[in-house]
Amino acid sequence: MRRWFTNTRGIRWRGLLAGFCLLSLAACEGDPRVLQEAVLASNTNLSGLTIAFNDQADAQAILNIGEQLQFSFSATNLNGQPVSIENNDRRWISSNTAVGTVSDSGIFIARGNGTALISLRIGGIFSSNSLQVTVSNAELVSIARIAGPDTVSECSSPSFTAIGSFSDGSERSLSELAWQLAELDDGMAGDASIISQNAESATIAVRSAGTFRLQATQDGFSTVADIPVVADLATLEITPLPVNPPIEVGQSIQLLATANSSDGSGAPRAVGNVVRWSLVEQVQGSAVASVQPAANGVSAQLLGLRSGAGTLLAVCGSLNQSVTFTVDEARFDNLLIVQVFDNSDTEVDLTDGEISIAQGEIITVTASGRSDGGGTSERRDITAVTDFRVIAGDDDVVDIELGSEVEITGEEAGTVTIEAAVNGDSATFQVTVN
Amino acid sequence: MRDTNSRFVSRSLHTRRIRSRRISTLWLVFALTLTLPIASVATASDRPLFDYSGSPLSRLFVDLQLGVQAVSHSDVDFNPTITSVGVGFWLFDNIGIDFFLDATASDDTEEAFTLEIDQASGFGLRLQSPPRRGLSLHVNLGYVTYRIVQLEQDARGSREVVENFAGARLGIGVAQRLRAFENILITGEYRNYLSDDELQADTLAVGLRVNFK
Repeated sequence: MRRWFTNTRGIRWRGLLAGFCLLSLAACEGDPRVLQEAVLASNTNLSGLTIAFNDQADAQAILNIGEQLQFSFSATNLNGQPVSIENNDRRWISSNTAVGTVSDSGIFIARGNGTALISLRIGGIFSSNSLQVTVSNAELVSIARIAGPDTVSECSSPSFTAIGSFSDGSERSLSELAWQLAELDDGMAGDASIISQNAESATIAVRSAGTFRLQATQDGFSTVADIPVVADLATLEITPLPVNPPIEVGQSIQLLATANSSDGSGAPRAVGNVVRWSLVEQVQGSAVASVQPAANGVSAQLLGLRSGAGTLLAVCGSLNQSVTFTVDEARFDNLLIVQVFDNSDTEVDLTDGEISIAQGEIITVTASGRSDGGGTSERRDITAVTDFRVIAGDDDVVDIELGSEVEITGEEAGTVTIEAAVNGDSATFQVTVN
Repeated sequence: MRDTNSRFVSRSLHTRRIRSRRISTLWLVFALTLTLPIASVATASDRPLFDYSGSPLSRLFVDLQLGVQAVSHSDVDFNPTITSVGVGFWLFDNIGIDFFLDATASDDTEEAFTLEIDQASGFGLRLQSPPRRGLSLHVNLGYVTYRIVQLEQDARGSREVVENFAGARLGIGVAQRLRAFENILITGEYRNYLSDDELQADTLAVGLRVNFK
């Protein structure tokens, strides 16, 4: 090798070599997804593809240059059954890339005025439909109307969008909206509130008959719609799941609320996100349970806090329904105290351990344990029924805020021992505030 | 259900064993390529590759090779075979350029797919070690373009996917001059076609090189 280097001394072969490598790597082309998709399609028996945007498979979109539109797709196999295929690293096709391109994850980006047809191909299977996107750079001149049901039923949760008029004469769905419920001119109003909203739509919880006024605003333009609410419900039903459950302290169950229309038309609809939940006949400070709307938006969670009996009331418009329940005492063992973090699945076991925090720093902890009664041995979150208190050290070192999660704030420098106690078990951990 | 799972596991293991055997075979061929020439013609001469005062024709060489490829994507491995022809020109002692062309000798079938590298061609820079007893090592760095044809046949019918790729060609090999025919060398080479992380394409090739000295 040494002779070889000697022979080539003075010649810039190493530079040439590097150039060769860089050129070759820069010239990489070809798309292995074509081959991979064929395997994916074969493994899933992929037979059909349908694309959509905003859950519509036969719509047309009009966008301004620079605006984006998310496309999605559904897939079926040879038997017509749905096939789950992720919408990433896919080969979306735009018939006119000067008008717009579609990313690997189905995001159309409008680039120039004109019309493009969007379709999708996976493993030799083309989407059965293609959707037209028109790009026309135009200014919003007014909000033409709020789109949604003209009349709604009490105890329902209708959704609304808004349509804008543009300088090119087109009407388009608006996507930078702000929503609010406005006062009616004659003061008549139904019991309604916005339960969710984004820049494109708003969902309203409508609880009683009357009228509510919905206002949509974008770019300084605004419009309102007065939506009549009719009282057409006959029954409201509450279903604990599981039905007639043995509720223990620290245990939660799901409550479903369904409403039926008075004319018998239509299937019972879930109204758990609309009803107002409350617990009755409770003396302050001795509630046997708590009830909170669940994160899924369609049900509520009933959590046993103390042993005893209680009554749950659900009200929606003129309808109400109550359910009585009993919370049984429970003893726990294997009490485990962990530190939890926002936006992370990480947990740090603090049981019989120690942790150092700075003054002003807040840590969040939860407690879990196994019930030794009620026929269940599953570990469950019992933070809400666990008492946290300082048993050694100066109380002023930390501030403890109880709840479904316990927040411990470092107040003064020092070390304390905190005991977490629940019926049947207890655990301690040490907190040092620096 | 248990029977189905057992069959699946059994089939999966069987497939793994086959792939393992194929990979082992590839390396065995390569090892033989390395060792046999050394053992058989250990006393070959180490004369220069070409005659500096001779005609440009004396700088030419031709490679004829048979190769087994390992093409892998989506956890599916294929082993098609190729024939390869290369023409090279020594610019300096032990430094040359070459052009090559591969053609399919046979395709390979895995699961519902049959795959072949329909054709490949490219050029590169060849850097060779000075021969010792007729044995030399060489490295190829260059550009390659190749076309993969993948035929699928399953319950949904028959589909053919054709895709062209281009990228870097990296090769390392050995050549052993024959004592009886000094213009002929036995060669062995490992090649990697580097075009995309999601697609592996390697070749082990053996053959002959003819110098026009």
